[in-house]
Amino acid sequence: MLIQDGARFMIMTALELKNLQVKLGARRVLDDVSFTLDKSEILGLVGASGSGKSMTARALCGLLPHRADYGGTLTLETQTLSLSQNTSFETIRGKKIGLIFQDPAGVFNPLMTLGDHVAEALHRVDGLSWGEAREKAQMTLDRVGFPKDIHAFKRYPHDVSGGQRQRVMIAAALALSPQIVIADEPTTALDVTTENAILTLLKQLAKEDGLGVILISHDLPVLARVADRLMLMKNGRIMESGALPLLKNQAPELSRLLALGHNEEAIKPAKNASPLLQIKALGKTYRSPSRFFFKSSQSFDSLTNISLTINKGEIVALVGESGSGKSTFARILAGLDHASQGEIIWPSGVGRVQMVFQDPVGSLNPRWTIGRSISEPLSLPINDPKIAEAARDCGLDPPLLMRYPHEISGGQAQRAAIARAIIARPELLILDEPVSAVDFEIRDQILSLLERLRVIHGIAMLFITHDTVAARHLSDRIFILDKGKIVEHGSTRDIYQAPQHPATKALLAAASSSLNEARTS
Amino acid sequence: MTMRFQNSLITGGLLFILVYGTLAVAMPFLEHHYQIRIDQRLLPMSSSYWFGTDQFGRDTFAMVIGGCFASLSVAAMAVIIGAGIGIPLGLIASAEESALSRIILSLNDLIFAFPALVIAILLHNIFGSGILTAGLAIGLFNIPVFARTIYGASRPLWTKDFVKAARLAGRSTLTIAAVHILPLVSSVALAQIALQMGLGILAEAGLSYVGIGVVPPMPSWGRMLNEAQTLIVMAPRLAIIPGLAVALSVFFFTWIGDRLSDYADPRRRQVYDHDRA
Repeated sequence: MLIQDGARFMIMTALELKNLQVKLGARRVLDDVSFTLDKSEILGLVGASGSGKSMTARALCGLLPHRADYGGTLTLETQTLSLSQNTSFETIRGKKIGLIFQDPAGVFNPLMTLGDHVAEALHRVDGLSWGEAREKAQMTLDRVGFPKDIHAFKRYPHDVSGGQRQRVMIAAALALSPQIVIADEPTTALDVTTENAILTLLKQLAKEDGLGVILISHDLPVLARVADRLMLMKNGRIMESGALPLLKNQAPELSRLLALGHNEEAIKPAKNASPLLQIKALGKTYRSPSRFFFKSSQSFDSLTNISLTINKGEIVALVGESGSGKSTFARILAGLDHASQGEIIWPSGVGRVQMVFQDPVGSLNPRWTIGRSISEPLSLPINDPKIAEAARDCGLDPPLLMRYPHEISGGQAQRAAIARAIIARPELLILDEPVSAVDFEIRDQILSLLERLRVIHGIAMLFITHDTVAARHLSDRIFILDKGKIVEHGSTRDIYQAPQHPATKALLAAASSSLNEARTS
Repeated sequence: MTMRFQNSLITGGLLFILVYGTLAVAMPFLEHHYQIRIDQRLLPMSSSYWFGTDQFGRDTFAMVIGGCFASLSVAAMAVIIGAGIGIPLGLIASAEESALSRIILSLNDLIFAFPALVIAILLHNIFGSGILTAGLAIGLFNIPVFARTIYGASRPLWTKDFVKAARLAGRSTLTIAAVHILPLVSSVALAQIALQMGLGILAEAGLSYVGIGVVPPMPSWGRMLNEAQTLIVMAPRLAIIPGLAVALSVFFFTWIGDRLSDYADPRRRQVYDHDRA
């Protein structure tokens, strides 16, 4: 019996982690983290930011900060390592455990072709010649579905889309045939259609190669779609673990996470439609300067013939995939860029416009306290009571006003950015993907906050997003933007019940399939 | 290297600058020590002449201390000119691509195109030698260095969302440059100031060495090196001592610049505080 168990362990288990502890200074960031990962299994690691998901992944490949103090045991097939600061990960990292990161843009060397990123490991670690390495890299690239007609060995990272770069990164992680792949938020930077493709690929690789995959995400629907098992982390501990249907009944945390994002019939106050601004036939053309004087300059239409009206106190959503021209439109409306054609009419005088940006931390000056950032639009002295009032309106406690952006969470930073936007009481608030960089849980809080601010202050909002679930939650009317054109618009309810245009259907299908799977699986 | 050690080096470096400044101020009071006294020439190191005397009977120790004044005042003047003009130019040029920014950057390249020594000789011929001329010549070449550094550091900041938010808050480009961009590049500017101080000391020594720097009898490390070269075999200390003075000053200023730029960043400062606690 014992022997059989041992044999089973050898065959089935890809990785076993026992009692991982990590301390940073006096702070315990991971406590007694233990789990096993089978071959062909996709283990989903879910939790809010700061719960220890990424720290666990980094501990597995010895990428913890130097000051970290840690212990535990890691078993990979026959090899057992006791983890400490002196453990050598040379034989494991890359060879047995491959890594896929969140931001494909930041990981690539801009001066190296995409193909060489995959071939490099084969050349340096496996000792193949560059020729052999490139041949093998091409095979790996084919496996992950990187299109052959893109010629990976001639193209550079900036030549291809985020989704294709993510494929290259997966190929690079797989090149050395590891038994385990850790994917840390691999699809967070991608739009829904691309996200689907990447997740399907991961699932297929796990099945075909017997690869154990640890998939880290704050996005539960993503995990629910592909993961065989889920592990919920909170405050550096594993709260629950098991298959999703089991967990849903047991863990209130999880069912709350799942319940977010679809209270469809939120109260939408009826308004007597008095237009705040009208946009007529707006267009934006970018001209790339001609490289040689005999070659005519190329132009590119980012936006074509956009017409829409925003009424006072109304929330209008502009939904489209990345590259559809959403952000260009936001910039023009905010006066940060100029339109090439068309006009923007404010019937009752040009209104005050404020904006909330996608990356909450990047929208705050890192050297300014939160209070000072909020004070900026009104040039208030730092102790003016209006600042604390705006902060409180957005759910920020006064002590936070003395902190710096790196000392608060992403959700708090986004609340601060919203407080800065509303302190001047704008008539129009432009929200450029305000919830796509924050946790699933915080997303819901931010959306509720925006809804409340609309009711309290009557601020009209233009909500720009690729997230159809969030758009449905918040908006009164929806405009669908595809390749710079508005292809469909109507009341939120109509669009969701009877989408007409293929682009709309694609956006809705991608989002709802992920949610339905999360709910029903 | 531990943080504690690094912190003590910062303290040490600042102490060095303090001593250096005091010595520079002390220069006029040492005047009678470096008068020419042929009967005392080339005396070895002793308790009355710590570093001995040179071929004109001047006290080398007093000369080295007196040399602080020339090098510090020339380098400081050069940095004030360079940073005072270069930093605003770099900030303005980085704000947006305009005719103005192109003019600023082209003028930068133009100055870079002239060899520094030629300009120094030119100024020397027009205005004569002296601390002012040397400071002006070195300062002129500091302008594009500061402008370029600040331009490069500020350029990516202008596309940040908090700058867009500031524009929406109605701030002018100049205000944004002053309140948002400048503080964020201050650590870069600080490091560059310290680095250019070091290089300024080196440049002053170079100019004085070729005879177009400060005028005798004001002591200068560069001229001491020049005068020592014929005696390099007989009295090598006459070259080694001022040489060490130059090398140490350059080293300390560069070092301090490095550490200060770390400390100016609140994210890194947290690391320091954390590790000290």
